[in-house]
Parts: sequence; structure tokens; C-alpha cells
Amino acid sequence: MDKMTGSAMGEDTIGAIQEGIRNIAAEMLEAGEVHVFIGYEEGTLPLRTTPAFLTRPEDAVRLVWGPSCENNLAVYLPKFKGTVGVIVKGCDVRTLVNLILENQISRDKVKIVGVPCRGIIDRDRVGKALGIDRIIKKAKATEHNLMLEGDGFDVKLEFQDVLAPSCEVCRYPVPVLCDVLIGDESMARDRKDPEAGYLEVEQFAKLRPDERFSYFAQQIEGCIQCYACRQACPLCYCPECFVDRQSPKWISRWRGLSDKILFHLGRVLHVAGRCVDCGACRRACPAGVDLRLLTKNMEKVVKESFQYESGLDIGGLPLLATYEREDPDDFIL
Amino acid sequence: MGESSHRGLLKMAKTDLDVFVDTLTKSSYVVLAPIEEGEATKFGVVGEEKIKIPRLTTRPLKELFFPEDESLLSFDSSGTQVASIDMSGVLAGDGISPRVALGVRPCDARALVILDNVFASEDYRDPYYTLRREQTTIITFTCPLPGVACFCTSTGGGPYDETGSDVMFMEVADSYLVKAVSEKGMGLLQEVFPLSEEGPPEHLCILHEADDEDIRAAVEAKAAGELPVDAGVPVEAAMAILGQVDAFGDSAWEEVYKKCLGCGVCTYLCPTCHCFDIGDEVTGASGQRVRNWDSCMFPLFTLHASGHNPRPSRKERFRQRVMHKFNYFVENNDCIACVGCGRCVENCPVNLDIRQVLTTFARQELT
Ligand code: SF4
Ligand code: SF4
Ligand code: SF4
Ligand code: SF4
Repeated sequence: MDKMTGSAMGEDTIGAIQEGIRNIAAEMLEAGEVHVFIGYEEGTLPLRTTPAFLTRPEDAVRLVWGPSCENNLAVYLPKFKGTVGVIVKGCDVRTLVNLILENQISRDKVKIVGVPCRGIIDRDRVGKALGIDRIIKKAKATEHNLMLEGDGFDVKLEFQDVLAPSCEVCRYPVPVLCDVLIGDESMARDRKDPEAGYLEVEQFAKLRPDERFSYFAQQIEGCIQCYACRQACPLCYCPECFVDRQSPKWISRWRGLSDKILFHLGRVLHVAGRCVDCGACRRACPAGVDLRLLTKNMEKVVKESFQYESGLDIGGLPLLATYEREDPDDFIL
Repeated sequence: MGESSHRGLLKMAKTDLDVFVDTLTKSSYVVLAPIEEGEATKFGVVGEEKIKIPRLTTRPLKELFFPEDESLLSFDSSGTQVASIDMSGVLAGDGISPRVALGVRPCDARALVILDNVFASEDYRDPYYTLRREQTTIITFTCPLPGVACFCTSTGGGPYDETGSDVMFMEVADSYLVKAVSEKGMGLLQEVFPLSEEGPPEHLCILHEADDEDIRAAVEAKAAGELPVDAGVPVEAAMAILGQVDAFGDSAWEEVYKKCLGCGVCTYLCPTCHCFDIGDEVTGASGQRVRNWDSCMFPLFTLHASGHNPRPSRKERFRQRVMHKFNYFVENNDCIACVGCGRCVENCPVNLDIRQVLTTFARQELT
């Protein structure tokens, strides 16, 4: 894996990481270290990859790596019985850490293959940059660019203009916990200053309450209650979500704004002190509902009040499992 | 020129679309067309803005007829032993006046004919759905820009398919060629844009007869328009396998569902999916019986009161979705419950592609 270090960046880095992933997956499956290896394979649409569940070493060649590896694969882990190998990005592994902390999976049942992350592409941003209804037929990512081809156009976008919002402010692009790190830390994007991520939240907090309400109401209005956000979030693992309870019933059959708000506030509060801003919920949404300002603000409150950052350490207790008399409560209205 | 002109191909300048819509509105039609809601698009009452017709709305046309929630009846048991039940509101139209859905794509229009099997068949006529259907004239725009997930031509439709449409608008250069394909569509054009011996009043002068050259252009556009759509999805071959008695136990089911997250994206956005739940929403002594969308991908869908669930995992739920579309529905109604619109393909958070699933089953034997 020598050629991956040093200056061999760009397309080569992506290729080298992909090669590294394939080798590790094949090795782990060959040696019987894992029963299943979960990674990404080529998707059926441009800018898409799709989760792959491999059981045979010879299938490892199907695995791919690149900035379209957008899914957080940790979501699948609690379902598996045997030992599982899984590819994680910097954010993904923090949800995995939480799953371990919360006893949803055991550390010795998962082989974590970390990738130094350079960020992933936000398809909505690509769509906006390109203009609506231009159908992308082919996409290719390199170190700094995204090349898109379609009928009558051939466009080169700056990678940083279509980067997912979470990646822009990512503080932990190198997985904080893994059994194997592909390549080395220098391949990851630069760590962002913790405060960078809160600028937007702080701006937003300056708005009047009714302005803030109407922003969120507008986001939530379009929700079709498909619950893809919940299903894509590794931390939403409750066997029965409160919105699915029949007795007591929390939300009605009316698909009105107040019921939708109840679902979203409930969900966001349930990931308090746990959410790692991986963005999986936002990407899963077919209606473009974006509540990141809410989750990000909660992250900020938790950090400032308890000096706690979610998903960094498998030792100790999850934040919500601790209590001290001196705990601050000034964030409670 | 007599009334018969409406039977031929008409022509309208693209720039007259807003006048067209305006004229419909002035004739008391509610015009429903693609509107934006946040990042998504759906059919809704058009406002002041210019009409913009996207390639395909994010949300399907079906919700104009089968909305995500609706009241079936209201009841009140205050003061008496027996509740009084009131369905009159809905059945009297409940404010549903004659409507025109404009800017529909052929796949969505075709899907309505499929839904009619469920809600407006000889055996069963759902009064709510049927009323909305009757009150709505469908103006379909042929599809100039099929997407990469489209496979309508593999499911019997196509970008120029007229099934389910009342009027077709075909884009040719700067014009729309306009064709009434049903009696209802013809009726609408004749009512709103009447042609008389003296010719139409000036403000209605936007529809003209198409000439031979237009017709030739239309034929060419049609031939070219169908080419980019994926016609190679082996729907028939997969159906042959799925139709076998033991298809339920095929080993591929163990694999194909694995990445499914069990969300409602593919079913809620599907123009042909039609499962619903019914329950009462009660406050005090009065309430309403509400019908809302439901999805076979949710665990609650088949959960029995006993706690038993005949479709205990995502495997059974995913199998149900595929089998319903390509086997059970076909047996019951003689048509598949998929129009190849590609919404489920494009919007699935994990890119679980129904085309690939069909390809998996398109083989000689069960395994
Ligand atoms: S994924 Fe989007 S539409 Fe679906 S429930 Fe979540 S916010 Fe609503
Ligand atoms: S709530 Fe959203 S951003 Fe937070 S961990 Fe879950 S999926 Fe990731
Ligand atoms: S949209 Fe995809 S993940 Fe969601 S239920 Fe359908 S197949 Fe499964
Ligand atoms: S199954 Fe998918 S492609 Fe077929 S009609 Fe439904 S959403 Fe469209």
C-alpha cells in the first residue's frame, strides 16, 4: 500500500483506497474473520453507489470507493448475528461507537474498516448547481472536481461547491475507532475548527421566534411521513418508534403540520447527545426536509453544557445515561 | 370550420400556455399543475406564478384522487345513544368542483387507469376516489426528457402513451400539438375553446388546426422520443418466474431485500401503490373516520392484535411489494401495477432498484 501515501493524491487516492478496501474485504472473508462484509458497490444511477453485502472473497472486486459512498452503513449492524466487517467514514464510525455504547452491537462482533474521508457529494447541491431537469448520464469524481455529462452538456464542478453540508464542517474525517485504517490520515480532508460548524446555527438563533418557527414549519410541511429519515439513521433503532404506537397513540391519522412537527421534534430530541451530523437522515428524504439546524443546535448545546461530543469514545457512558446534581439546565426553556 | 376541428390535431404556441390556463380558470375550472413545495414538486392548485412543468413531479399524480389523508365520514354521539353519521359532505362533492390536471406525464396518467381497478371497478366503486376522477380532466404532456431511471417502455407505456389521458400536449419546437384523446377531453376543449362558424372570439384564438408538416414533426418526435427510454427491463420474463407456484420460496428473496431500510419512500411516491389505513380520530363525542396512506414496507402494516406478524421482517415485506406489483395485481386485474416512472428507483435512499430486482428474477427457473 506504499503508493497511497505521500503525494499520490487525487483520482489515484480514490483508486488506491478502493484497492485497499477490496484487499481487506477479501482477506477478512477468506480468513473467516467476518461472516459478512458490508461495503459499497456501483449503483444503478449516476452519482449513486449502493450498499453491498458480501460473503465470498471473490466478490470483493465489486466494492467501490468514492465521494458517492453516501450511505451510513452502520445502520445495518444491529440486524446481523455473526461477525460483520464494515466500511466507515469519519462520521459513520461515530454512530457505530454509539451503537456499541448503547449495547446495540458488541465491539467484538464488528470489524471496523475505516476510510480517511475527503467528504461526500450532496446530490441536491449538484442538482442546483446544474439547473433543474438536466439529466446527468455520466458522473466522474476526481480530487477537486466533479465531471458531469448529459445530453448537450459537459460540466466540471468544483468538488467543494457540491460537498455535503456536514462534510464542510467535519471535525473528524479520520475514523476515531477502527480495526484497520485504509491508507493514512494525511489522505483525509482537513479537520475543521469546532466553531465553524456552529456559525450557521448562531446566525439562525438571532432570528425572531416566529421567523424560526416558520422556517421549520416550511421544512416540515413537505414531509410525507415516509420515515426514511428515521430508517436511515443508525441511532433510530427502537423496535417500535413512538409514532407507530397504537396505545397510547402519539400522532393521529391526519397528515397535518402539528402531527408532523410532533414526529420531527420527537425524533430530534431522541437523538440529543447522540446525533453526529452524518447527514444520513437528510439525504434519505425524498421531500428535501432539512432539520439540520435543529440537530446541529442540539449538538452545540450538549457540547457547551456538558463538554461532551457524541461518538468519540467507547469507554464510559452515553451522555444521557449520566446525571450529576450540578448538571447545567439553563438550556431548558 | 365546424366543431369537428377539435377532432383533428390542434396547435398552440408554447407561449400561450398561461393564456390557456387562464381561460380554463375563467371558465370555473380548478387548474392543478406541478407546483413546488420546498425542494419537491407535486400537483397543486396553480397560483400566480408562471406554470413550469418539471420532467416528473417528485410526488405522484395519484394524490389528487387518493390523498395522503381524507375524511370518509364524520360522526357525533353527543346527547343521543346512537351516533349520527354524516357522509353528505364528501359525497356532495365536498368542494370538489370540476378540475383540470395539467402537465401530467404519460406514466402518471397510465397509473390512474391501473388505480381504477382498485377504486373504480365494477365490483367496487369507492365514492371518494370516483368523484374526484369524474370531476377531473387529465391533460398530459408527452415526455421530452426521459430520466435515467425511466423504464415506461418496458411496462407497456411510453413517453407518448395516451392511456389515461383526456387531452395530449405534444411538444414540437415552439408549439404544442394538442389532441383530444377522450370524449371528456374533447368536451373540455369544445366547452372552453368553442369554435363557431364565425371563428372563435379573439381571446380564445390560441388553438389552431395543425397542418401536415406539424403532423409529420409529431410522428418524428414520437419516434425519437421513445428511444432513450430503457425498454430492456425484463418485466415479462420476471413475471413468468414470479408467477410460478413456488416463487415465494425462491432463494433470491434472501438477497434482494438486504439493503432495504424499510421506509415508505418507494410506496408513497409510487403512482400505483394504493394501500391505506382507516381509523377514527375522535375528540369528545364526535370525530371523523380518516383514511390515510399506508405502506406494505412498514412492520405495522400486517401486525395482528395478537402481536403476531405474518410478514415479520423486511424480506417478507419487500417480497410483498414486488409480488403485488408483478404477480397478484396481474392475476386480479390483468395488468402490472408499475408504469416504470422510476420514482422508486431515483428516491430510494439506498438505490435498491426495482429494475435490478426484476432482472434477478428474469431467469429460466426458480432457485
Ligand atoms: S424522510 Fe423526509 S418525508 Fe420522509 S418522514 Fe423523514 S422528513 Fe418526512
Ligand atoms: S439524526 Fe441524522 S445526522 Fe444525526 S446521526 Fe441520525 S442520521 Fe445522522
Ligand atoms: S425506498 Fe428503498 S429502502 Fe425504502 S422501503 Fe423502498 S426499497 Fe426499501
Ligand atoms: S414501482 Fe417504481 S417505477 Fe413502478 S410505478 Fe411504482 S414508483 Fe414507478
